[in-house]
Amino acid sequence: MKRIYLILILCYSCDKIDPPYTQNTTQLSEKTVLIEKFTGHKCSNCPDASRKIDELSEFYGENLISIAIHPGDLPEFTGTDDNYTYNFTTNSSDIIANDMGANFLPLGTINRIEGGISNRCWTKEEWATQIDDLLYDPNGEPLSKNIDIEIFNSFNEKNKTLTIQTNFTLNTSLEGNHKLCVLIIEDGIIAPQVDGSDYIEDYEHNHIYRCSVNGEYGEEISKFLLPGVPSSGDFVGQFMYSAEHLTEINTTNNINWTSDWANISNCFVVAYIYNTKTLVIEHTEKHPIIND
Amino acid sequence: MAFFLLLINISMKKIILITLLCFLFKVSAQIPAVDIKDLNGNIINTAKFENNGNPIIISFWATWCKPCKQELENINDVYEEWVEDTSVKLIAISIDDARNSSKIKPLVMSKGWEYEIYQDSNREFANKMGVSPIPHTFLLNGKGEVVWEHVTYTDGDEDELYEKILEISE
Amino acid sequence: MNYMKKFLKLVNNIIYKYYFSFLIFLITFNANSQIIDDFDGNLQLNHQTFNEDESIGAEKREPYSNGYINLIWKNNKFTAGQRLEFYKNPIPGFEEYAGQGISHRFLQFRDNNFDIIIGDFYEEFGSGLILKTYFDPGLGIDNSIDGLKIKYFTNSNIYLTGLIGKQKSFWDNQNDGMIRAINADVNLNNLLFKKWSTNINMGLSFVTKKESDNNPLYILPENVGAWNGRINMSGRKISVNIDYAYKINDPSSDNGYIYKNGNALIIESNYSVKGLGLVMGIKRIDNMSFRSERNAILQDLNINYITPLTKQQSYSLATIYPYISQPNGEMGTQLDVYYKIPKKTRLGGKYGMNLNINYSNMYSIEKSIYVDESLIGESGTMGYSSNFFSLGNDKLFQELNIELTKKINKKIKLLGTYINVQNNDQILKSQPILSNSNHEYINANIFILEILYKIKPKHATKIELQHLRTKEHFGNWAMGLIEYKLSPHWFWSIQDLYNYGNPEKDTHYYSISTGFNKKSNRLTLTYGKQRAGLFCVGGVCREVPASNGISISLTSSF
Repeated sequence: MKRIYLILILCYSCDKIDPPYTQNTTQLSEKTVLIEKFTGHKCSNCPDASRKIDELSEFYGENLISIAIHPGDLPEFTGTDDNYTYNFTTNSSDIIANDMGANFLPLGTINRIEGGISNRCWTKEEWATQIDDLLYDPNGEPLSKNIDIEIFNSFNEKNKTLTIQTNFTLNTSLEGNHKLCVLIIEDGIIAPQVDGSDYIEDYEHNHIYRCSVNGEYGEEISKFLLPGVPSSGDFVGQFMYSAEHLTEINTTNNINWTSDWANISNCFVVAYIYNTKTLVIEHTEKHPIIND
Repeated sequence: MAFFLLLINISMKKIILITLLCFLFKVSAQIPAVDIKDLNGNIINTAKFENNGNPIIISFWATWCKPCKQELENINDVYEEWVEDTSVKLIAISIDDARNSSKIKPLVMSKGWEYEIYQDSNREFANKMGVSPIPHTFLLNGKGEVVWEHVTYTDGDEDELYEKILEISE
Repeated sequence: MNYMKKFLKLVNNIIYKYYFSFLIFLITFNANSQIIDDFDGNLQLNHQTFNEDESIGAEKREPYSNGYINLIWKNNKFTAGQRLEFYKNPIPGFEEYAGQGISHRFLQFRDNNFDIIIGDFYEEFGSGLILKTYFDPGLGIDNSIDGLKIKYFTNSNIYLTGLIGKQKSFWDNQNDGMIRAINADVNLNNLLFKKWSTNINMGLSFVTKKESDNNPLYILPENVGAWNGRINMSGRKISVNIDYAYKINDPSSDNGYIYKNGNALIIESNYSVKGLGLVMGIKRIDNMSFRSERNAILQDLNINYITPLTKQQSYSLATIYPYISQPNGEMGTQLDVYYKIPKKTRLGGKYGMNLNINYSNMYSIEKSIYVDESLIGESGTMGYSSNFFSLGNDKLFQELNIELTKKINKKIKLLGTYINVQNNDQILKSQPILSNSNHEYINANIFILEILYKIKPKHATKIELQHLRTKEHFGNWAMGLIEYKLSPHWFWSIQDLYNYGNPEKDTHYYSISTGFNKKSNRLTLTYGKQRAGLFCVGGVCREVPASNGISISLTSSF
């Protein structure tokens, strides 16, 4: 009797995996997933999380859109001092970080779905599984998108004004109220970062949350629905931002970013639509401001 | 196990009521049967502790616990007399885990203690005896029942213990 | 099958509704019992308040209360028990415990050959290198296994254990990982070496955990197995203990998802004669974090326990720069000398003098690039290869403790301690740091003097003076404590930790305490400031913020 028990256990015992350890990508999904990564320039484990996002971006391509937020309420990781002079925090992104539950770093929200280690924040090991569940059904078939978003940007070099036009189309009729949120991110900021035990003076910071265009939590899409257009099929709503609103988006409490658009070629507009009750993001799109 | 709900909502008031009832309805206990180890790594069953019908002291200690070592040191000074007069036996149970278990025997030998020493490295015996902070010392009568117990140690506490031993030796 | 489920659900609902009354019945019924022989248990209640205090960076918080009560019923060969716990406004590190309920319940049967337990149980194989489940409420650790354990033992000292179940994580015992394990402990003297005076005990364990693979990036092993072999040889004077463990590929959050196997070796030996004890231990750990769930962190769901090989300190200034165990890789040694300088010698004096010297050091393990790969520690690869006998590049920790204890006369006893500690916080990164600084390699020297003075029978006082000197981190500290004990029930104490060398601002952390104990009950009350501390498990640390307030603690057993 004891012998049988022993043998049974040993049979289930060990999965020795042989290389290669990585799996191949399955077919591309139509949906997109937004990952808001909470990070800090004095956080030594955070570059590992950035590398993880690079790995996931290679795997998922354009299906994964990432934003980096430095929460101002964790000054031991995001505050400035003599060695870390750049201020990456903004008022609006601080509000988001607090509401999502970012109380240590690194963490990330995945389409703001609920769960994870704290409110809606997941540790970097959990990102892959959650992203996959949002893009593919349990059988591995790609899920189709409920909303289509198209972004058109036009920048006037002479008077440095930016116009953003966001069109959205509902492919199925959506239940409940939704909001559209538009923001601007910037790549290629060279500033110090600690990585493990090393201090890297000229680290390249990407996808940094610079400012919100229509409020940190956006506005109801009912404001932007075009009159007389059927509820799905042709584009149903349009959000327009233009130069008159410039001063409003200047007030982000970040002295390093002004709207003189010095690094305009590194900036992108990100727009997402989410359900106001569940707070889960339905679809996200990203588009560079200067189109090549 | 899924049918035995883990998260039954027992409120604070109910917990306090249960606590009070426990104190009222307590029953005098025999020591539980648990497997612990002696200093040579042999497994011993606590239910087999015996002293020919004479009293037994069980003292829980650890190598890092100063009051515990002080208590055992002070009793060591008078242990010979105690044994002569009452045939009492002191069993010292160390709750040191693997971090300090190899230090128990050298420490005991360097101090010259003459007790029976055992190791309860996963606190299994300590938990069943309701031991939380140490030192916690029990006195068992000739029938193996717990008749007295005490937590913490101050110089002079061993006198109270000895009075109790004399009482039950008669 | 459906009817079975419905029936169980019905039973479940009845128990749920009437559980409280049922419990009262069980407790009061036993007074009159033929069914219940013994009923006892123990409890602990804590309450702590948090006031705002800018001088130490303490924030105002809601008062934190927590407690547990263990209840155990016994009849002849059966034992049944449970533990009720509650946590209200828990502090950081314990947030997931918020709430109350039954955290532990079991039914046990034991006779001369079997020990069977169904429900939640704790167990340790050997020193815990591949399995140790235990309850430590102070650290928030309760990784008991909920399932079935069968232990079989014979008179010839062979102990066999088999267990299967799921580990508990805070209030949840339905996580994904399942554990199956077997263990054998054998005393060879009874079987083979009957006439030897040396005791030989051997142990062999095997533990496997099963967790499904939901990861789209990597092919993960669903069954991870670990085995452990140990042998203990104990003679009259010398004893040697060898403990070796091996774990197959276990990519997890702790090791950065690498596929390398894990191994651990701990060898401890000691020599003891009357008046002298020597201990020597060496240890090497390579990738031995082992959890029920790959992504669990901090104190959650650890299956094993890596024995720390550094001295357990109790003096407050000696606990400021502790070594944090690194399950991913560490190696080191520890030496201890316990010597009693005999009475009537010049140094020994009338009563003799006790000397204890302890030395320990810890290094990282050697890591080099694995064949065909380009980086060390990259996720989704083997990770690295490591030469077993080479030291790593970094010295992580070193400590020397010299402690002398001397009884001067019937009233006075002196204890003097010197500690030199080197803590490579640059690598360990566990200490809180000031703004504008980085983690440093900390070198500190600590002097401690403890005077125990017995004023008269039943009245004892203790005076403790400590000083820590360092050029790094927060600078120098001084500490003073006076305690007065009135046997058998009372104690009062007052203490102050003064960080006068702090580069930013010097701070006092003073507090007063009092306590009362009677029989097996103890109540303590402390008011004052507590310095920020560290909450570290398995190589990861969280800071516990400084606090200012009152804390009350009651422990009792019945």
